[in-house]
Amino acid sequence: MPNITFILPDDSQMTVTAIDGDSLMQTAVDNGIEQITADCGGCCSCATCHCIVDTAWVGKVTPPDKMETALLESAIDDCQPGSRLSCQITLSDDLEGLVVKVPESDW
Amino acid sequence: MHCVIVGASHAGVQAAVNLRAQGYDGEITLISAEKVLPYQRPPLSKAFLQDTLPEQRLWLRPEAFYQQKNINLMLDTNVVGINRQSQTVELANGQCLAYDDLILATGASVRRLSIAGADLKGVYYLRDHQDATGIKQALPKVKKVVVIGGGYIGLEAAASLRKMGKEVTVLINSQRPLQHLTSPGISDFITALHQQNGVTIVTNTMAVEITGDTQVTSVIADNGKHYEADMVVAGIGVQPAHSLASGCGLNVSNGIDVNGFMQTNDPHIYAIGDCVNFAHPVYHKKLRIESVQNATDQAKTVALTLCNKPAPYNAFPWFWSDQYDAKLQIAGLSAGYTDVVVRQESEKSLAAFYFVHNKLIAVDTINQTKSFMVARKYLPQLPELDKTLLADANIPVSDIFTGAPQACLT
Repeated sequence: MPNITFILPDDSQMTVTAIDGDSLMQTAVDNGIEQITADCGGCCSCATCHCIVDTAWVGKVTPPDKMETALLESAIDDCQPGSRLSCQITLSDDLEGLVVKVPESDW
Repeated sequence: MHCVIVGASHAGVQAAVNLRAQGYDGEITLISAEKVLPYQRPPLSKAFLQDTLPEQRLWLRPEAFYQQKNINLMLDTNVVGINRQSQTVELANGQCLAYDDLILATGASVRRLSIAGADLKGVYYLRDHQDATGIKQALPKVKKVVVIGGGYIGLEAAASLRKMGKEVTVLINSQRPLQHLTSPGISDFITALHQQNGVTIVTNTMAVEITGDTQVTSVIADNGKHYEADMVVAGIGVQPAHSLASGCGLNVSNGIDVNGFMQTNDPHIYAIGDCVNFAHPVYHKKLRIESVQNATDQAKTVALTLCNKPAPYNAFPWFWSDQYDAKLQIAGLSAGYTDVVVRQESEKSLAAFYFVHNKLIAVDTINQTKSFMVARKYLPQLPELDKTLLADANIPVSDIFTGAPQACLT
């Protein structure tokens, strides 16, 4: 049950307790973070769940696969080193304290 | 203020969520005819059917979310009428709810088979949670499935059932799968994909009768053949659910007519999602779009309208489908194309770009995510592209789009 901190577009912070095994996207949606629309429900089809993983955490989350990289590179104008599709990050206790930034919706 | 939303699928739920996100502080009542929490529809024919997505992950929001956002969710509740003069909706139990604004998100209802034997046990449709659950419960005893229909639902059901070890035959009443939705190259790829996975695809063939005593045993087709089956899954389309709208005198054509703000001809009644017929700002024609994207984006538009921040709908359509290891991603609507350019990046990676003369209007991709994403980004400008370059898989697709002239359809 890791605690995850979301930094919202207005710079406010929201810390929530996630369910082990849930995706970061699911955690955001379940907690009412509306910038993460996640139209495709988490099957890596749409890039509407973009988030930016805090620099300190980039190496600790599982790296993006080919499909996710293709979506990120083509869909996100302001793609940053920590840019990820939150549906592709699975949460576990190892990620206790994870910090991610939620940009304004790209779509 | 009280906003009543009829229908709690992707459109209805998103409308409630966005009303709160946009600061609506009135009462929100979200009405669902179904007994279960509002759920995602796309996994019903994919991960949920294959039992790789647990039920609690199907819900659009956890139950507590609705309480937290002060959304009054009424499950298992049917709306039977709308009284526009008194601004009330009537429920099946006789109760009336007064509204200041009403959002119809009534969706679409599944088209049913009208052939003999269609009411036999073992004949299923795949539109809602109950349909998918019914299929899943019956599956352990099923060996042979006949799928009727070669659209997305039929094909996704076929892929899922095949993955689960069933013998699957798909009867398609046209020359090729997805005939009205895509070009021959994509259809051929999909046909081959299913055949490689062991599904029998039968085209130009119509089911004429389903046989069996009480339980289905076979499907008779117009080619004279009998296809053995313990289960039939029909995916033969849907029709807009607009009886509440037409029943109270709202304008209805192919769906409920709305303007760019999702408003019907009654200024206090709005409609969104699969049930809506609207003029698309890029394609300049009236459309009814059955998709999650359309439901979600129209919900955002209506929420902005009701929160006094009106902005006309301008989202661009896109769709996806997963079958076996193929990821189909579609941007735009290809109907009416004059030219198609095929880009094959590998044996498993194909895209079809659709043009009206020089203007790109849509793209279908299979395992070619970059082409989908780049096209999706630029398509609203209907770019004019060099077709020879586009067909050359050695040239990065993004280079072809960058700086392309923009156009509009007239």
